[in-house]
Amino acid sequence: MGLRHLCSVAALIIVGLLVAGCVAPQYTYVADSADSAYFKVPPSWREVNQSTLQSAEGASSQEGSYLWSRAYADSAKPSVNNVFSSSVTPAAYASVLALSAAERNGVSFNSMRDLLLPVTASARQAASAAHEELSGFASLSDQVITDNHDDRGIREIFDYDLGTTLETFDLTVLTNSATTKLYFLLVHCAATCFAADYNQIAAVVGSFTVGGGS
Amino acid sequence: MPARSRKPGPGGPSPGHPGHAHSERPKDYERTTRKPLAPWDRLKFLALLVLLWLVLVWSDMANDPVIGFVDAARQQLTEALWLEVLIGLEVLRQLHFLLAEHWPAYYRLWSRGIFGGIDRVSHRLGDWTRFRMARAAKWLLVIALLALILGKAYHTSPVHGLFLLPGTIIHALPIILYVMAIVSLGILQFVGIFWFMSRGGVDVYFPDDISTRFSDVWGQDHVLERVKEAMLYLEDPESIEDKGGYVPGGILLWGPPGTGKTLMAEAVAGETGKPYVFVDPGAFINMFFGVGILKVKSLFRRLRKLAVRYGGVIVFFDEADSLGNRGGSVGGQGANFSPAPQFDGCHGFCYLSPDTQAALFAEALKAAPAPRPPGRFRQMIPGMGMGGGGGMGTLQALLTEMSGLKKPRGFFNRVVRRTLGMRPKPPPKYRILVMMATNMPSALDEALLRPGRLDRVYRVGYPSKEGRRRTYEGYFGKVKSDVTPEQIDHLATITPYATGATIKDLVNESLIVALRDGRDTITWTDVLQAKLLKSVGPSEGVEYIERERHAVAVHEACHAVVSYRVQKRNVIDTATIQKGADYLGFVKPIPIEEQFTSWRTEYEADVMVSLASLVGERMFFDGDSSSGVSGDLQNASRISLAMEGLWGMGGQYGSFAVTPAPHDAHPVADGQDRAVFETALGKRAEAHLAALADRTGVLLTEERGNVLAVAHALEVHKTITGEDVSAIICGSEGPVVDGRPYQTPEFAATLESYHEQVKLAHSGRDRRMPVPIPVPARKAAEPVSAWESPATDPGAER
Repeated sequence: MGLRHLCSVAALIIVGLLVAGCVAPQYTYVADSADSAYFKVPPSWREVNQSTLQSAEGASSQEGSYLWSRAYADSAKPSVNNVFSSSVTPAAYASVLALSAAERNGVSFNSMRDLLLPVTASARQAASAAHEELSGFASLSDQVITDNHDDRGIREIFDYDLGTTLETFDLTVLTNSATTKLYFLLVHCAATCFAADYNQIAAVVGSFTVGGGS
Repeated sequence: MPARSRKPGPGGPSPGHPGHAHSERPKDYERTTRKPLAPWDRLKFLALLVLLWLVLVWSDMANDPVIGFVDAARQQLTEALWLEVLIGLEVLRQLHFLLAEHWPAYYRLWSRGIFGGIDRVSHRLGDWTRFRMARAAKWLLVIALLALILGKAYHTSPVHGLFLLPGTIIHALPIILYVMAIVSLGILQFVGIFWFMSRGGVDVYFPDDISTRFSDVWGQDHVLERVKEAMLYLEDPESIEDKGGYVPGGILLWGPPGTGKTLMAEAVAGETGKPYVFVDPGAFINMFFGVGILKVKSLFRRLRKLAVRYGGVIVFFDEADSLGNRGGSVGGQGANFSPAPQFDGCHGFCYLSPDTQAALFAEALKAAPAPRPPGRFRQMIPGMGMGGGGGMGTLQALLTEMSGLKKPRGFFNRVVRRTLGMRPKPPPKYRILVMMATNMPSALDEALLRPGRLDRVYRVGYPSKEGRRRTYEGYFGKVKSDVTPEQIDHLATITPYATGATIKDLVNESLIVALRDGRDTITWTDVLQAKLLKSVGPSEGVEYIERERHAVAVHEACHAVVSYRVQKRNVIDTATIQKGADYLGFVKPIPIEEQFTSWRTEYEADVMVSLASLVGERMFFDGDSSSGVSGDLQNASRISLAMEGLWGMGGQYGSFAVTPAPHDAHPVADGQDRAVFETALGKRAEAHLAALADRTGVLLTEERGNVLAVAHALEVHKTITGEDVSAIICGSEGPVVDGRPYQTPEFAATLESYHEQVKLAHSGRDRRMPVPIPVPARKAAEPVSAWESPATDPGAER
């Protein structure tokens, strides 16, 4: 191999490295390998500090105890407020819950729909009976999901009026075949924002994958 | 300056590449540029690093089903920066090489300026300092790498990672112990197998365990004295050590089987006040590699312990040839200790000048066949070549242990004391006397026999006459017998090559003869009959026709009578006409005393005894003779030729031994040259034979009556002893035959008449056979009828 060949190979490698180094990945990939939960978010979405997230969500919810959770928001300084209140930029919140035997028996598609906010009619009636100030509900989409690993669940897109703005929620809840774990991903933002960034939000929700573990 | 010099090789341009001269590779210091790298060497590390990067990309994709190749690659480009740094460094390195290959100034800068400078600086330090610095640098590098890896693994800083490592190890201790336990179990199985296999074959006896004493060993006084001496030094080591010597460490006893080597070792065990360790011959036969070595090591560990505890120990290796050798042979030392192949007789080699010795030695090697061990050992010794029983490192281990007794031993002694700055203690004086016995010294390794291992090599030969007498006395002392001391002395005389084993067997056989006769006391007759049985062997049970029986008897009687009259060095042991496997009968003489030279008159007597058969047959059968004399004539011819051509007993000084020998044979001594009797030598030998035949004829004419008498005794008894021959000729009473009637004129006439009748039958003029054998007054004893084994080595056989 002569000098010219070697120079060209070296130049190619260096240029390749430099070019590739300048181009960051198109998405940020989030993974919980232990519980087999994966999704991706655009690189402009930043992760919410985990400790503040954990303190905000508590050790466990009504549905089960947290195994893993992550939150991202399209903000330079994302906080739990982006996640747990109305937001003008998209925010994503994913979590994996461990279900006890008693909790397992209570799992249904409707309970999944009503996981964060009352979505089903009965839940909304119960909420209004309890004088919870929730209004402006509108169901935009309601799907039942099954995959190759016998994981099943729902994807629900709905609006709620949170007082100041109309907020659109895209909720995906899945459980594994043994109903020992509950996976959910919530992406939400103001309705105008949701409509504007729908493609981005759809890509995030579409990448949500749970993988066949028991 | 050219990069390399080119010049044609020794053969000019190679035919396959016309015009291309063979170029000699320039030496390193002649180079002006760096030697070009092969393409693979340029790219291999780059390829490896790129491959590694691809593996990381693949790992990302495998761990996250969402990510695609492009994003995984981009992710690794940002995450695996270390890899990119390495790739960059490799590219820089290759660029450096490339420049050095094409730019002499650049190459000179680095090779002589920078690297040369570093070398010059570093060589100001001592070699040991540089080695220590390099070692320290290597350790630091290893620790740094480990820290980096640990930092990555723990997701923390490298230094913190190092501190976290012990905690992880402690955490993982149970699993580490578990794995070690499993591995140890596997190893323990082998250790157990080897431990069990390395047991056995070694017995330790303590004083008073063995009752054999030196007084039980007879006939080997010269060796026994030496062994006693070595043992005395072991018992009282200060007597020699105070005077600057050392206790002899090893004794090899070698010699024919049955000569008492093992008995001597047993006596040492019985006499010594030290422990005695007996090593079985088969102790070092090992199935697996290493077992023999373990056995040797464990044996010597035990010996050292015993030596320290009891102040000395004796170890005896019986049949030491089973230890084998490593291919070499010690035939020169063990087998004959002769500096050169020699004919029997005066050891004329020693007084010659060294040059003459060397020339003669080379000639002897060319002429003489390779020395071979006798008899049944021929096929065995080559098999010992590569180690034999004690192979696979066993012999080497033994050699090391035998000469390695003076090294400091023990972990504490060698390591701990040295660490504390103390000098290791020398070992105590292990006083170990190694004794070995073998009948195949040539199968022993030469290194085993060097002084320091086996200091003393003693031949335990056949016992002396005095030894045989004492041995006979010893064994006869254990049974009831009326054999007188004079008879025992005579018995010792007529059994020259008897060993302890054969003497024991003869006494036992005598007892069997006595018991068969209904007695429990052995008589002299029993002994002689037992001896006949042992020397002649059992009869084939073949009966001759009468006239042939008489002819055979006359033939053997001629040998016997001439032997009796002319052989002063020998006495007749046995005369028989019992037909054996390949003979009709024989007269067997034995030497009266051990003698190491032979004289002309003795050879002449031998020739006369040989010729007596032919001369006698011609005399007694009117000039007729049988083919049975062929062996006798062969012996007579060979002796006569050797006397003329080899031994200077004729009319010639020159030796025919210097002539080339075809087929490993001697042209004169072995009669290979058929024309030898046409030569002057052959004619002189023939004339000598004729003269001796005439003397034999005169003797036989004078002894005619005695020949017929002995022939008659042989016909009647088949086998008689030398004493019987003597009794017949002297007219006295022998052990088997009463010789007194034979000397009466009446019976002599009867025998002559009997011979005439047989002669008539023989000639065919009167075939009235059988002619009854005349019977004189006989002694009570009957000839032995139960024979056990065929006779060997008949003296003058027919």
